[in-house]
Amino acid sequence: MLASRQRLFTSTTKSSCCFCEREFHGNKKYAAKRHRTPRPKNVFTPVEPVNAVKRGERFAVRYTDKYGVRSDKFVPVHKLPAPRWSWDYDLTKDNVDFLSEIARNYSENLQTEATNAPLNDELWPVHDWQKDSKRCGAVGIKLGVHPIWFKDGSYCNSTLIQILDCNVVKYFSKEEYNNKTAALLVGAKNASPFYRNEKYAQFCRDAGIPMKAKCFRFLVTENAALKPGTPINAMHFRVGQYVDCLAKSIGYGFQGVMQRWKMAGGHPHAKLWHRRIGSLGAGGKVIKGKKMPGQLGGTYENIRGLKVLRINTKYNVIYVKGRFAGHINQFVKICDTSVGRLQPNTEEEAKRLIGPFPRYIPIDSNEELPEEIYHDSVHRMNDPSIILPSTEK
Amino acid sequence: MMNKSWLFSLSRWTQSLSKEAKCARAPILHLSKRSSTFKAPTRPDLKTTESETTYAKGRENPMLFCEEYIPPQVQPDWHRNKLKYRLERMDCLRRRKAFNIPEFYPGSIVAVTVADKHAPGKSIRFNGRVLYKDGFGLGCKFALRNVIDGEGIEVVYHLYGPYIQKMEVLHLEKWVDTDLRYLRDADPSYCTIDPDMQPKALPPTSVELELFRERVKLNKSPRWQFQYQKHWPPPYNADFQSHFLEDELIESERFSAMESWRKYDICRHYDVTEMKEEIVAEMKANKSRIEKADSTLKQETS
Repeated sequence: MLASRQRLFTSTTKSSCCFCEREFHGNKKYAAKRHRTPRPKNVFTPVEPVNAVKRGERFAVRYTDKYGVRSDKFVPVHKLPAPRWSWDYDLTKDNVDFLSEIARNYSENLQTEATNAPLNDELWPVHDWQKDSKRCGAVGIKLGVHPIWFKDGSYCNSTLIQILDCNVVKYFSKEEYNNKTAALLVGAKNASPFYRNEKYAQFCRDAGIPMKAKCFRFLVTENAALKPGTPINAMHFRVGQYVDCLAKSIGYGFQGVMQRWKMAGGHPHAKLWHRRIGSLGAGGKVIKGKKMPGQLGGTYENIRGLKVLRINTKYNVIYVKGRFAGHINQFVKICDTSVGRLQPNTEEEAKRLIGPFPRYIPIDSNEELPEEIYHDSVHRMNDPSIILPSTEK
Repeated sequence: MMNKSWLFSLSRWTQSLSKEAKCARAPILHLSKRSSTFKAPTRPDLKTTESETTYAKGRENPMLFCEEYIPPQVQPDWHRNKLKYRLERMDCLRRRKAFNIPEFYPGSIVAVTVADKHAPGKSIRFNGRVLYKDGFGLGCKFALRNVIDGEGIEVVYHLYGPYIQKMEVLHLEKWVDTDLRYLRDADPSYCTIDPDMQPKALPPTSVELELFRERVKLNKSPRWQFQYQKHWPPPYNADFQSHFLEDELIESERFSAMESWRKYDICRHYDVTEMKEEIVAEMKANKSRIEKADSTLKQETS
């Protein structure tokens, strides 16, 4: 290596690369930096030309097969190895019809099989709550917003969240995941068995549940481990507890600075300056974090400290005080709060601020739950009108 | 064999007879075994028919159908959730059972008693003319306007808000327009209502309400809240054209003509007839659903 470098700096007549013998113009001082290592960073295994045949190509010579040394940051999308854009891309029509018929009755069949199973596997042991233990949450769908009134006459907007076909998909222990916390995957809303990749389909098969449309990860302590396949319904939460909601906000695409950062723009009679950024900063450079156009929305937003006011056990709907990001029918990740002052330190606080640990287990299996459970401060619509007590002496 | 041939000959003979002869002299043939003189008794009505009030054309039974039960027009289709509409309508029915919300339309005069923690006696009574009634389900709001001591006051209430203790319709009127906010720019006599006004007799629900077709003259001053002359559709009960010169009218017609294509826009038409039948059927079933759901609640509290 040393010898080659010395050779570079000593040669004055020709400026050429020592490795590939290419001649280039420019300062040979930079030659060493540019062609220091010939090790190619991106070497792709040649892709099987299955997709290429469909597209009309005969020999797949992919952009990614050549140029082992080119920067891996930019490869045009149409030159990447073709993704699997639909589950039936390489099947004949008869096979597609056959499999779609299976998919249609898939979730119902699985559920009936589960209920008719003669042997029920042992349930995993249930541990008590301890300080600093975290349990998993649920995945739901945002139904909409409507008002709720309290007994003192005040009023708030509450969002309804439905917990639809929620099941635990997979459990990773501390050693399997990262050596700090265990993890649980929880999925909601049944979908066709060809919805996602084979790895995820295998998780669902092992758990004995149909394929889930959306799956979220919950970081959990080991004493809150749940068996894959356990159903989670609205009773997993308690009326009066606090909750965090994570959901993807409505996407507006690439937006300018007036929409994205609420800048004022030009005055109405301006002629050459309308919706621009304005000043980029001083000091000969652009300040880091300068507000500029870019993607607006379509990101996961977390709203913390929302109170659960009412639970409907028939439809598994939770009424939560306040609003959070996302359109109607968007998937929501609901979990116990991470707000500091609402963390439970004693068992009594855990019963008030957190739901049943690690999950809801009915005391009597035949007990009929009340259809609506309200918080004490919430006014029920079938009660008479509010009459405030007079404070006159 | 003997019987069959006898019958055959007999039938032949009856066919040959004329019509009158058949009636007069035809022998009585008991050919069908089922004919008899037994009369079945009338079936008793086991259902107790409650006093069913008949509702006229423009008026509906609020327990079954109301304007606020119609969900808002939302596109695309996957941006609506029908379960949420059902749950909200059930809550509306619960409130209507506990409290009698009277029937009124924009243009009628209503008095409302409301719980207010800052008021002496903890309740306030306010009456006024209804300007609009807008919204879906529990979020349905209406506004009352009254001019007190020369000062125009508007208050907005939730139709299903439990803080409303009492609601009386003093004068039931139905105007052609559903949005009467132009009364702010009109003669204040339409909205000055005596705070101690006595309720007038309400027509029964079987009588169709006549629409109020008089035209309210707006003030001459050009400082209106809204340029009514430039927008389409023009309000029926408002008269503002007398203030304008011919040239101005022609220009305003040009503005409104630019938007008059909306009446031909099929996508904006919200066809409610199918939805109405579904909603009425749903609300009938909701009655029993609510009783079932709330019966468990009462057991808890008691």
